[in-house]
Amino acid sequence: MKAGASAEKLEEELTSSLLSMDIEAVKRTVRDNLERGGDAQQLLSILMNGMRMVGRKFEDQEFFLADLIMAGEIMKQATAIIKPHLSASGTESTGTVVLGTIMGDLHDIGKDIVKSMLLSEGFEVHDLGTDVAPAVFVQKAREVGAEVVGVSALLTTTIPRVKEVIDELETAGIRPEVKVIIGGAAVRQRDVALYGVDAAVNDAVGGVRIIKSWARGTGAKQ
Amino acid sequence: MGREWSSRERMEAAIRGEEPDRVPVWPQIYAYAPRVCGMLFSQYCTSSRNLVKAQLEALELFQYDALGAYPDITIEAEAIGSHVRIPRDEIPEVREPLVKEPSALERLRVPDPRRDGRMPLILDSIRALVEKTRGKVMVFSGFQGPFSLSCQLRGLSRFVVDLYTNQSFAREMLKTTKEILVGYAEAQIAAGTHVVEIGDSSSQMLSPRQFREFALPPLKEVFATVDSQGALSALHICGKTDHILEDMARSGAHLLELDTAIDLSEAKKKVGNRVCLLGNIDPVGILLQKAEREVIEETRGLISTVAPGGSYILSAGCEPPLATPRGNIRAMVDACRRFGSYPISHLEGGGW
Repeated sequence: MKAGASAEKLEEELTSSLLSMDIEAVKRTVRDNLERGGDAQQLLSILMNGMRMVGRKFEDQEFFLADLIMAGEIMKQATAIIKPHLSASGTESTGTVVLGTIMGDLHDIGKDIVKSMLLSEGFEVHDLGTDVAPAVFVQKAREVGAEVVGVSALLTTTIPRVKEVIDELETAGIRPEVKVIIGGAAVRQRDVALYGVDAAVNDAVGGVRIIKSWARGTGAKQ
Repeated sequence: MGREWSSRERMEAAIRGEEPDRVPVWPQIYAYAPRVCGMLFSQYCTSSRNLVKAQLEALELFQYDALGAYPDITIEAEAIGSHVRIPRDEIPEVREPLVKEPSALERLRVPDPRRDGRMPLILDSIRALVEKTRGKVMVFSGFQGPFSLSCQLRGLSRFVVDLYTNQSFAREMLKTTKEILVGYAEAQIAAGTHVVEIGDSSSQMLSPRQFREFALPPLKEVFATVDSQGALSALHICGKTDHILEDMARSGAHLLELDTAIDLSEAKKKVGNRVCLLGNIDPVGILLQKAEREVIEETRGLISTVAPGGSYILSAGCEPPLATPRGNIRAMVDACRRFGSYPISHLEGGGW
């Protein structure tokens, strides 16, 4: 069989397993292919392409939030298998994002949705979980060279804490390199000016759209 | 003519699908109540005396048509054994999922509502609220639905993944939570609650097929129990629920509480002949962020499009955020009294 034809078959198989949320089939195909000396980079781009299809189906209401969460889980587990096989030059991700729910707040649904959607767009996402101290966001952003820090805050009492993230970024001297977005149901546009963030959004789709627009620029911050 | 309707009669007529004297109004004042009397949230959600005091003061202040013995959504998870953090003046939260491994399901404690966690406090509050208002005001009490409670106990993402990879476990989990909730519902009804309100908001993430397969069957069983014991019931799923609306109407609940994302007049056309609808002024975009004048306009608009024909209770799309100006809640209730008297005809613009 010609290489081109088998590559096509691989893409078809992997994409169809991903779209039917069959995590075992995805992992099996990935493992088999790697064992036979397959190209790790190729596997990853097939999966990322598949995740973009998942994102589109979500926007078309063919898929629902549960599907996004499941697809994110498949991507996470498949990437863990692929990663050790990637060459040192690595893969070119769309951008690097540090995400977390701010200190005092344990809501993670919105954050998890944003994470799944960013993964589907090919971003490298570092999820710090919930109840995250402002300094931890900054530490992680510096460690991984993030272009974007996403702060989730659902409570009106925790939203103001995003200001501390900004202050910490300034103290660390990396504020110019990092864009900061805050998201949550009670977040308002005026929080942008109030706390000095770069964007404030009420919904996951809007947040991802903004982060994508930043990534399309030359570097995160222009 | 001339007879005075009690709040409860007004609510009951709406729930039966009729037109009362005027549109009943219940802005879902659960977590907001302690703000009214300067009480800390931790005082409100840990003492039946405080809960009753705050609920009655809020009723006195705003003059709406119901009361709520349901301070926060961690009560069931806590009685089952979850570690719940109760901050000084914020809403309590489940600290960590209890069923991290499927094997932990077998060891779950089936709570005794008369003894475990804060469940007894809720039962005491129901009794006191009914007694102090001499049964004339509708008392709501509630809990998380089987699907949402399963998400709380297992961790949301983990439970969603179970639906794809370990369905037999997911079903066991839903069966266990359903049984626990049936017991709690029976205890609330025995304490005298008028409406058992089930909040199952995590289920809005599901596809219609998943909702029918996983979330709906256990909900139906709980509602059937409530119905068989003579109480009324409400289903609260916030967020975008267009895709499951028909199934929500088939759950057996007498009342659907719909969020701002839903066009209520469309919903009324679709399911309004089968269930009473409650909603849905935007709690953040309007109640929290706009001025009284805009709250009044929104209220009036909703009444003119949704209230004709009855079977409707005016409310916000969900609980008002804690920082909502008091004046806005009052404006909503007052506008309902002013524009909500039946008969109501569809208004076509015009001044007032």
